[in-house]
Amino acid sequence: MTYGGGDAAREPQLDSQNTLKPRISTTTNQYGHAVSRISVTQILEATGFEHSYRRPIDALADVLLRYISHVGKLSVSYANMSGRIQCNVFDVILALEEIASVHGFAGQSDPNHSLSSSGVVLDLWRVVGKEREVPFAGSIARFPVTRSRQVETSQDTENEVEWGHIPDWLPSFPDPSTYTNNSVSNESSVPRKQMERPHFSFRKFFSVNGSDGLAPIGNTNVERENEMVQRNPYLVPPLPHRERQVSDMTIPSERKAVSVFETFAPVIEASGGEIVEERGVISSKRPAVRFRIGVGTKSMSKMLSLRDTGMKEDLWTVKEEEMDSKKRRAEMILKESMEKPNELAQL
Amino acid sequence: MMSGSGNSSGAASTAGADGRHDDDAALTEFLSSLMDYTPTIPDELVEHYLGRSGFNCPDLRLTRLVAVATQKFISDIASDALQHSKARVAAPIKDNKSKQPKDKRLVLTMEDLSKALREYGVNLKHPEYFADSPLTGTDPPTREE
Repeated sequence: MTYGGGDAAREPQLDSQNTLKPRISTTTNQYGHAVSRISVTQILEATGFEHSYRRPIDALADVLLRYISHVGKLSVSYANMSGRIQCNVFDVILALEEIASVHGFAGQSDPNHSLSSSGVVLDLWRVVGKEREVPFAGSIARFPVTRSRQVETSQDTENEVEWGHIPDWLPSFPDPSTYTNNSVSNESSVPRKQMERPHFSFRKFFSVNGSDGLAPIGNTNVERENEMVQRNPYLVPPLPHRERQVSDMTIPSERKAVSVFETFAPVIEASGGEIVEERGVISSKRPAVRFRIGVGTKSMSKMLSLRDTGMKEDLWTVKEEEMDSKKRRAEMILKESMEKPNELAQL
Repeated sequence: MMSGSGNSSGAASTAGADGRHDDDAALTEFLSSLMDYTPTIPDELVEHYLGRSGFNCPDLRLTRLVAVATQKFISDIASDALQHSKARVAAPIKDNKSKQPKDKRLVLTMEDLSKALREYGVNLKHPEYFADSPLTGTDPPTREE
């Protein structure tokens, strides 16, 4: 048999509700649909067709699968009505009779007709006995094939310590070295990359006792918790309800420039001067920067306004380094513009 | 399973015990002949789709029975479609001056199949065209506008 028609197998088709639906409806049906297509093609060839388009074959394959499901459903319902869960040959015959009742079969009018010799069975017997046997082309394996699941490690297999309160089917605990805060065991079992030492150590800043946070701790969880609480000021238990002496707040009368270094001076002293200083002293006077007026960037207007009002020194200089780099960039651009007055880049 | 068959056929049959035995023997013979016959539809496919409907039976003869029934059903539809196709080929052509003679090949088309399936209660409608643009199906001069 030859196939015709240039339609792709997955071309969407409009169904009765005018919704686009792929030809092969679900991924789970694809294999069965393909196998039934082969069977349909063989049946059509045996009937006498020489050629066919692809779509009628797909339609007939779908009809075939639906017919099998329909017979199965009817047989099961007849078996359930008789109080059984496993189907009988008579359940199947009754189902086939119900389907054939639309067209009619021999002996349908007789309500007491024998199922063993019903017209349906005789028709099938004729098919088996007389018609030429056309076996299925090729052989297929039993499907669907179930993938063997990988059984995850459970408590009974992995855990050395047997906990009485933990059921066996739960997954095992992770490696103890991953959650104990033992510095020795950490380095040995979990190899870490060599990280750069940060300039500012927050651990030291927040340490209450002044000691390193990575100290070996006791075995029980309660002791571990208490020590963690003592070390971390945010986990300190709240103060009980009573009056306490609080130090007076000093409101700065003058507005003076606050620098990063001044703010974190005690920290720097505590950490032993580890902060890398790029420059020693910030000079109060800065070289004048000339800007082009009328380019229209936000930063430009801000800088110009500052220059006019002279409030440069009132800026919060936490972003001091940023401003320095911007200033340097601006100087470079100015130099370039001075050299090439014709080709001017926007600032 | 065959012992349980006595209930339904006993109540149904009016021929008496001998007739019942004959019927049962015929059925047994038919089912055993099924094992010699290999249906075109493979057993694995039928088993899978029967299993999806809840049909649970370890007996292979029942599976073969359903396979043979399905094969008969499809072949009936195919033969009806063949009749329609032959009728189309044999029909006289309206204008005999036309260029090509009627195609003698027997090709299964959607039209013939939908006519054949209609008698079995399956409504199959094949869309004539896919409207992927608003101008599909309109006359060429309208499209050019």
